[in-house]
Amino acid sequence: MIFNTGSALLDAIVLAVVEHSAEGTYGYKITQDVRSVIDVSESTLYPVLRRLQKDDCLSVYDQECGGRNRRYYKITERGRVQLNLYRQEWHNYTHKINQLLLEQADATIDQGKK
Amino acid sequence: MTKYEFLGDLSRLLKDLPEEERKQALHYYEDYFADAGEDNEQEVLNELGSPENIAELIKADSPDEITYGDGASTHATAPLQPYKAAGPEHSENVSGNASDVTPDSTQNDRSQSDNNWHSMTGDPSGNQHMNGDSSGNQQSNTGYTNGSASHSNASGANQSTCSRSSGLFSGMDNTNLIIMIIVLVVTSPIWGSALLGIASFLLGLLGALVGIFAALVLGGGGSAISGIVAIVAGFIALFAGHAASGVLTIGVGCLLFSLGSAFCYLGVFLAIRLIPLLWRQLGRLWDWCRIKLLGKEASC
Repeated sequence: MIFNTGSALLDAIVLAVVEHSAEGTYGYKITQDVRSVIDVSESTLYPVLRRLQKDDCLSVYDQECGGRNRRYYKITERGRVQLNLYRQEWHNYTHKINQLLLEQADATIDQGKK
Repeated sequence: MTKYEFLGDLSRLLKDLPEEERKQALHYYEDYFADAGEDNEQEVLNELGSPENIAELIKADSPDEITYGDGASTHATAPLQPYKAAGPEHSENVSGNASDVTPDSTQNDRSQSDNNWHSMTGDPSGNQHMNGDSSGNQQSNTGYTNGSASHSNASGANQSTCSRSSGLFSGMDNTNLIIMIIVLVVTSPIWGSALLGIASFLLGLLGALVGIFAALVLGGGGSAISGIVAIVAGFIALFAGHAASGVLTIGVGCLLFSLGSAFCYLGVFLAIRLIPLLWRQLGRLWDWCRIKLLGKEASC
């Protein structure tokens, strides 16, 4: 992993992962899903979840499972708004970088002149 | 390190957080271990790193909340903090992780040096090794490993550490409790003197340890000082005309000084290394006692 994952990007990824489950999902599963996409230490994810919860982007509920209470995270309305903001930002950000990194030099200059 | 040790250490390390925060964090990690499955316990422990690291990350996020202020409005425009995505790294990299998480936290420098410190003594393999070396720790160490071995057997049956209790004095109804109390009072000479014996033994051990350190530091320091005095006196004798005895005194002085300072340094070094370790083991022993006697609810 060469490119650092900024905290905003990490937030966006976590929100996107949680958003995929309509009923919500739990810590271990979230960590697995996030780690299938980016290489991040398991120890960094709880603080992110906690912060998103405090910012009201995620809500939690407990459900009985195998004799214990498992904590589930669900995305809130505010979380969805935030995620869409991130999606837009990501689109702009990657669009410009893709142009620079991935396309031919003269093509970039032409597009820049538009 | 076992899951139990990890959670116990984490619980203690988060004591200065609000109770709700601490409970939530512990609940999260208990869930995590449970969902990973018992077979993966060691893998999870390797991935998570040291409890000190986790505690620092959790505590680092709390002042973060204050600087962010209102979540939604500043979130989208907040500058991208260079949040280092750490791979499966161990506590050796603890200082790197902690300092990158919140670059603007003033708590940072202190926690970083704390982390450096803890990564020295907190490394799982290093910890075990050090305990084996120090004779003073033998007693409490074996006492603890026995306790943790029997406890991890018990915890196999219990998934969550907070929902059930299995201590000696828990789950008893009133009449049983009264009978228990009477029996305890009647047999008090027996367990009383046994406890006193153990307590005085531990105190004796502590005294011996203090004595060793004092001897090393003070004795070494004293010898070093007298070594210096001897060197000076030797030079004086030398210039006063007593060449042979002067040189001899200087030589003896040098020897005294070097040996003395070596012992003194050794004493100080050992003390600095061993005291935090002792403290940690005591903390774990305390947790273990509470859990054995009062049931698992006591640890929540």
